[in-house]
Amino acid sequence: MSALLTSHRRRTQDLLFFLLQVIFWGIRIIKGKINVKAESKQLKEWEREFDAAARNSLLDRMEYLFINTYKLELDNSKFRSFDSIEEYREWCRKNLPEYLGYR
Amino acid sequence: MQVFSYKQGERLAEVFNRWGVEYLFIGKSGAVFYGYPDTTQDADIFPAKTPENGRKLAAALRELGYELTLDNENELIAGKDFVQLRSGPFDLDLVFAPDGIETFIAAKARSIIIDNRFPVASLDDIIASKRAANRQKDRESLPRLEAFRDYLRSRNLTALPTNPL
Repeated sequence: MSALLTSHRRRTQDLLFFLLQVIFWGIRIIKGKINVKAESKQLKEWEREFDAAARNSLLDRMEYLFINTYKLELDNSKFRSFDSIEEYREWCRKNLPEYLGYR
Repeated sequence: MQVFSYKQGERLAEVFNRWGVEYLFIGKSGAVFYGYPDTTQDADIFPAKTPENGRKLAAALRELGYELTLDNENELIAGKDFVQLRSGPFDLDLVFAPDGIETFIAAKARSIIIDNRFPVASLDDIIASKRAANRQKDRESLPRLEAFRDYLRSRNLTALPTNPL
């Protein structure tokens, strides 16, 4: 009787462990699938944008892709030069607001 | 200050060519020549960093309408890695030593001429340069720019047509 109970307990434990594995890997797979879908959706959206760009001439593309907005500090000097790119990056880090994205 | 446009690009190419300036368009503005649809605010030029080219560049920039003092000109001749110009018809960045690109000569060998007049660094070099620069704005734009390069490759194109039917 005792051997039967032990065997039953083991089987229940095995089944629980198996179910936990299924849940754990299931969640990972589903998450993976969701990410792949999002990535693929994003790529398709970009491809539609590239297709649309391909229908315009270079002249038209250049007319609407170059924009002019005042950039704090960056646009305050007519001429600014740096001996090295590292020096330029350091200047950006010290002088430009983070939202400009130069850091 | 005007926004950089096709006509200004055409004028820059014509004047640079007449003065014999060695240069390539680079950065996001360079990618726009390939057909990459994204906004940008200034034109980025990768000039060869030699005293002779600096001299020609200064003369060409003056002809385009940029105010350059004698000191500014001397700096272009002496050789800088990065120069920002905000004194002319449009904002111009001169990147003499872009991140991720070994030499001007190597980049020129990989470059292409778009629309028979615009010398542009290869998309791979533009991407490599952005990846090496690793600024927030570069990190944000890289996935889409790489997708654009893959889009061109999958269609066996070097660039989008300049004058589609």
